[in-house]
Amino acid sequence: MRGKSQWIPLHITIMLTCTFVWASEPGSFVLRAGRIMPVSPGLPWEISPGVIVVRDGRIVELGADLEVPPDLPVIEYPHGTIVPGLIAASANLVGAHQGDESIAAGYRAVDGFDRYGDYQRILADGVTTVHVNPGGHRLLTGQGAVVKLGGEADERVVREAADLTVNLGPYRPPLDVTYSFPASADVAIPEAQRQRPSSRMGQFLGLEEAVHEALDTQPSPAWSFHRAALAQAWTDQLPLRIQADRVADLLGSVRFLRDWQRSGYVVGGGEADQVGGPLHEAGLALVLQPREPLRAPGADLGTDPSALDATNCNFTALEGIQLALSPAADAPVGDLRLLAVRAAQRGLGERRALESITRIPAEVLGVSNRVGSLEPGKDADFLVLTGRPLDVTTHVTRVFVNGRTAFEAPVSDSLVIKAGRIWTKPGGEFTHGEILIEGGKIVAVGPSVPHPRFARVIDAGPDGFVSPGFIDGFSHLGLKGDRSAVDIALRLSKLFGAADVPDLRLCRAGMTTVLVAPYAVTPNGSPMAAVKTAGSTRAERIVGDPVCVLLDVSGLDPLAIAETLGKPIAAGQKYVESWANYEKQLKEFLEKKKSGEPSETPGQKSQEEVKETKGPDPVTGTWEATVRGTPLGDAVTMRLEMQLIGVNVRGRIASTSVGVTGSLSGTLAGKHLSLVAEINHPQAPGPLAIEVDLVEEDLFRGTVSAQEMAFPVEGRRTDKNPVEIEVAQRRLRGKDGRPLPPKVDPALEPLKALLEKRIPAVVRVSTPAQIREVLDLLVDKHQLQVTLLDAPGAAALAPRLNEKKVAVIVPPNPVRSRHNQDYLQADDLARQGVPIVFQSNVEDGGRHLPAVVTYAVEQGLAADQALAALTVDAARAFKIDQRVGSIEPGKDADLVIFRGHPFRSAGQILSVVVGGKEVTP
Amino acid sequence: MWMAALIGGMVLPSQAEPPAKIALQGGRIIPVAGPDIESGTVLIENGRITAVGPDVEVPYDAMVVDVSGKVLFPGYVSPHFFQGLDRSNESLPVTPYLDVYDAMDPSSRNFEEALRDGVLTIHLIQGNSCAIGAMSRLVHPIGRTPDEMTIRPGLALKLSTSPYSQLDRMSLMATLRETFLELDDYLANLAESRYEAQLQEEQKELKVGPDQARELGRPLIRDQDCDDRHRNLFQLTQGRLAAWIYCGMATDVSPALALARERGFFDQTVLVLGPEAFRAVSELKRAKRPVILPENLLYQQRDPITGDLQETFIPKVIHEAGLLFALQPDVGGSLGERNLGYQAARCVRHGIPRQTALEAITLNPARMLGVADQLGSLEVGKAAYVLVLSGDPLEFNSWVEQAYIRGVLAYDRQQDPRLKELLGLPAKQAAAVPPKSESAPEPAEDQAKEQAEEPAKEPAEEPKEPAKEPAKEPVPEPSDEPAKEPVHDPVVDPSGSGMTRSVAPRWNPLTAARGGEAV
Repeated sequence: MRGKSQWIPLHITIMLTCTFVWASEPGSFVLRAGRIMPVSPGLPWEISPGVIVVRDGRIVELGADLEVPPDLPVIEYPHGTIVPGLIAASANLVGAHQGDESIAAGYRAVDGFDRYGDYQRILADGVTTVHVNPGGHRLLTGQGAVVKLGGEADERVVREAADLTVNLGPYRPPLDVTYSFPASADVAIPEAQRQRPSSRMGQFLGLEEAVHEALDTQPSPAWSFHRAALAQAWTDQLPLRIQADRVADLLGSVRFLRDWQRSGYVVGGGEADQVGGPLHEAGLALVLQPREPLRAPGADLGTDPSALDATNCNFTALEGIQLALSPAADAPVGDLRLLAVRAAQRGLGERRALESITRIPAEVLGVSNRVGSLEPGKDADFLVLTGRPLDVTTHVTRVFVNGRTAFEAPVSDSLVIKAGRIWTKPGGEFTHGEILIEGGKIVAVGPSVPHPRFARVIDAGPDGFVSPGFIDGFSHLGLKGDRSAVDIALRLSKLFGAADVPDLRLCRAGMTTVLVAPYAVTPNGSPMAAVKTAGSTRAERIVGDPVCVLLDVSGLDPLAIAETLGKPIAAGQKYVESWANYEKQLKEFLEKKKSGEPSETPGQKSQEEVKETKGPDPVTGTWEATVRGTPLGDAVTMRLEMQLIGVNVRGRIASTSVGVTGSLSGTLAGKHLSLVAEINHPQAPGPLAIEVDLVEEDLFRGTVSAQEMAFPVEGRRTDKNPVEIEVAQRRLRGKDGRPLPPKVDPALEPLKALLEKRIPAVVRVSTPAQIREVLDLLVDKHQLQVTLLDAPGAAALAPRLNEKKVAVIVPPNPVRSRHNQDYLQADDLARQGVPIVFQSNVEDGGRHLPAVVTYAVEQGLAADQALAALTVDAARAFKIDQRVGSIEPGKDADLVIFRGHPFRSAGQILSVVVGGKEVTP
Repeated sequence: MWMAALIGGMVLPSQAEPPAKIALQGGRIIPVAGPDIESGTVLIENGRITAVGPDVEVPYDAMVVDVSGKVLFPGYVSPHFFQGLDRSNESLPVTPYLDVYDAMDPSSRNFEEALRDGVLTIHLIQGNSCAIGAMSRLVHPIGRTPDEMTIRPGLALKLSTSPYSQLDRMSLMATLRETFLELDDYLANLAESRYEAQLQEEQKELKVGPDQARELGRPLIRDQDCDDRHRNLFQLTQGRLAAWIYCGMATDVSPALALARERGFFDQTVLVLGPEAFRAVSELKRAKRPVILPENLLYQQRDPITGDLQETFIPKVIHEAGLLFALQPDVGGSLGERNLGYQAARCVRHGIPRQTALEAITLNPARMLGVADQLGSLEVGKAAYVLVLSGDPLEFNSWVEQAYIRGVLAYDRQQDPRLKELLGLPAKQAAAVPPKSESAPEPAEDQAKEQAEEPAKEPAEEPKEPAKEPAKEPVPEPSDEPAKEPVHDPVVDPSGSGMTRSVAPRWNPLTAARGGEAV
């Protein structure tokens, strides 16, 4: 019960949280974006950055600097571009009605529209509002409608009866048959009549006839559904939507509309650029349906030669005409944005092209009071794009309809960063480049990279500068004041979990990787770890552990260095040899096994020695024991050599009458001795359990049991002196003679890695003599990679350092006083070709390192040299350049995005990316 | 009310007089209306339930049937059933002048299956492919003629706002609008002529214009004044007929409700939902009209972009919206969904209260049909449509032991000839597969046993078998074996009609496998 009651407040909290999120969801929020393009004549073309305030699904306010109402949640898209939801003035979503009538005003496209339909694919292309028509297969097919593709089902219809759909062009009207009711043999079925108009020439005549007939009430004709519908539509002044391509049809439409004093617009317009003048004079809006063979390069553009071939359209001839774009009847609606992109390329221009898929179609369709542009009072229908709306690579990130999310791009682990300059490594710089990141790794870098669908895009702009994440060469992050020397067997990475506040503080300063070292070093060396400053798991954060062996010879007599460093190196070498030996044996064994030769007999070698000498005690010494029992036949005698250490007993079975030996271990409890004996024999059934009581001085009795069997045993001590025994700790060969690996020693593993040249040695030195000794021993003798720490006098040995590619981690303060003058060691070394690395030597104060480096640059260090020292040179000095330090495919996506060069103009950090994830500033 | 105006007569399918009084004694009673009775009696007198309870005094002249260990349950009501029709749809989209009566096929297997599955009341209605379909009627699955089967005729008109192969959504909606506008036009003219006729009768002069005459004549229109084509529609718009509107998709719900509201039959409307129509749940909730759920209760939807599958259990959504709903069996299916008990059990499994689930297969459809005072539960005064189940109705292992329709034993599993064939066949055929000379005596024994048992039961019961398949002669064995050796067993029709049916030798996976092992 208590457990339950504890949960109740938590439940309530969760419920309240949910309610709050829910309550704020329906269409009220503030959206802040990098760029807003309202497409409204009264507003600037671009507001960058901008804010939109939405309440109850409508835009309330819009501008660059608005006060954010405190009651509304804020949605941030700092890299997003906001444009109005796109409007397709023609869409093939409904299909054609199946009626037979050539002129039938009673069909309504809105009936055929699935208000609950899932239009995610079209929304994903940015189209939020479309016009649906009842078909293009008859002269007058019925009434069109304007609908939204998102939002609540009962709010999707914007205009139920938007227009009368007229289609001009070659067609065959269907036959018309009227059946009598009830069907009877007495009444003949009349012959089918071809409906009028039967030719292209009679189209307008047919229309006029139908309108006259519908409006004429004298004499009262028999009731007809479609005639009544036409009369109603005509009285309601529904505009005419005329599908026309040819010059004759276009001019005929102009005349028909003028004669009947009707409003209307033309759709299609294949030859419209030839009659731009008359259309302009008549004030007729035009919905162009360019045919773009986007998906089928070899496609025939249609049998109608007058169909609009977008490649040849003369947009300048259509100047001044209200121009909207829409996909052709047989093309996917989602192509709308691409059509505008292509039209913009062909001379329509960005501004008109964007207007032709947003504001103009809204005006043409008579819904501009609600959609088509971003203005206070209009529906909150807009798109969040990854870039400029008419860039080909731009994608839709999110779609709002009536202030609610109608589409949201699935979470993608792809990220594209665009910037004016990308500094990949020394000597490698792109201007106007892009970086593609997938799965936390850099996949591509170059002037243009693939833009996978739904990838997030960070556009740093033309003055954006991207560099690899900075590396702090020596810090004490996470030690929290622990100044003890850290044993080389320990792993500093255990200090790090999910990135904490101090870590993220570093990260936001651009320091993405820090080398963590203990404050003090043990004589055998200490470990260091390379840790990232962001990430939610330890695995994400650790770059290397141990990343190097840290040695300190700064306090040593140069002559003692060889001996001091020699000891751990010798131990390491022995360890390396034992492994090399094992690997050799294993290889031999496997080869023998493969060829079928018998393997060596299993044996053992003593590895550890127990040397303890103490006064007599009840156990220590040599015991002669006898085991009897029925199944054994003759009694088995054995000599046990044991030693009591505290209450623990260790020892061995020195010999037995049956020729096997083994090891012993156990405990003494009062007079009771419990031992477990491991028998060294390949057929040994398993450990023996020896349970005996010390019944008298130097006498024990009890049982020996193996598996199910137990035998009585009796033993006498023959010698109380401990025998120096070598206890076999482990078998060197398995039961089948396979060599067993040596024990893994965490204290020797880093040295092994060092000697195998997988990790470098970092040596703190202070005098040139010490440097010389270290180089002699480690670089020349053992061929190890060495990085020097601090090394104030390193410049004296610069040519040698340069030759051996030994990097120097310069002291925390780069400018020191020498001979009463400011001396910049970093610059001195760099000029002589020695790679340099910067260090902070503090816990989380490393965030000031870029400032320190800026000071160094001010003092004369080359700006790009400073960048290299913070990135690729630091990575190389610690052999972690396979993962970090440069912007190259395959490397970790650790990047810093600046506005301007970080050390030339002290650029401001816009964003930091670690492992492909943006660290929010 | 309006139902009372219709013919209330219940035609009994009586061949021989059933016993006047039957007491079903000792079973567990689930009356649906009211709490369960652990052990009790249902007394049926002249086709009506006269007593239900733990201690019912059984009249001396009642036939007592011991149903101890069994469960008594009201007969399932199938709310939307078109499988028993010769053709379930008409080729014309608008046919309100037709009646399912003309297409009923009493010999249809579907009625037999319905009886076997415990569906004792069937709302027989035209299929979904129409704009305005035929008149429906309430039937039970026994009887030799449509009249014998009918419980109540003229219940509802079938409408649909969902497109089908011959009528797209636009044409369908235009057709519906056209039909009702044409009705307006027709009634206006009719009203005018009725007003004129009235004046003529009263020998008065026409002093008003045509518009006013139409208005004044409107109340004078009687059903008999309408022609066949308009009469049912006229009743519909006056709210005297129910409309069952099929909405295949969510988007069809709103036009259906709008039509019903506009034309005055909203309060008589039941919506028959298609597979995804439940997504219009907010509209349905506002309308508060009863709904019939699709056979497949689980709706699966795939996200077009991510491909994620989302599953919705439809009754849960509808129940949470507080709507009155009825379940349909998957007639013709071979899975559990064909059984209404199984459908209700799935609802319970998904968290719907047991009582609601039980009502969804009994009382709710009766309420929607306006016959809840007569059907849908075991209550005193109601017509005796009673199931004797072997266990709980929501248990998948339960089956119908017996079914009583207005006091007539309409079904007895012990006597079900088809089950006998299906269940009896494997054992016999397995024995018959090895050399035929060995198997010869066995069928003879079986036959003798059956014949010995049957006459003893026959006088007590008068089982009505709706499925009267034409008698077939035993198929002659096309081999040179002696003709006297029967290869398949003639099964005596327990209805006593003397019909014999032959069991055609069919491939049977059970026996085939067994035979293979033996060899």
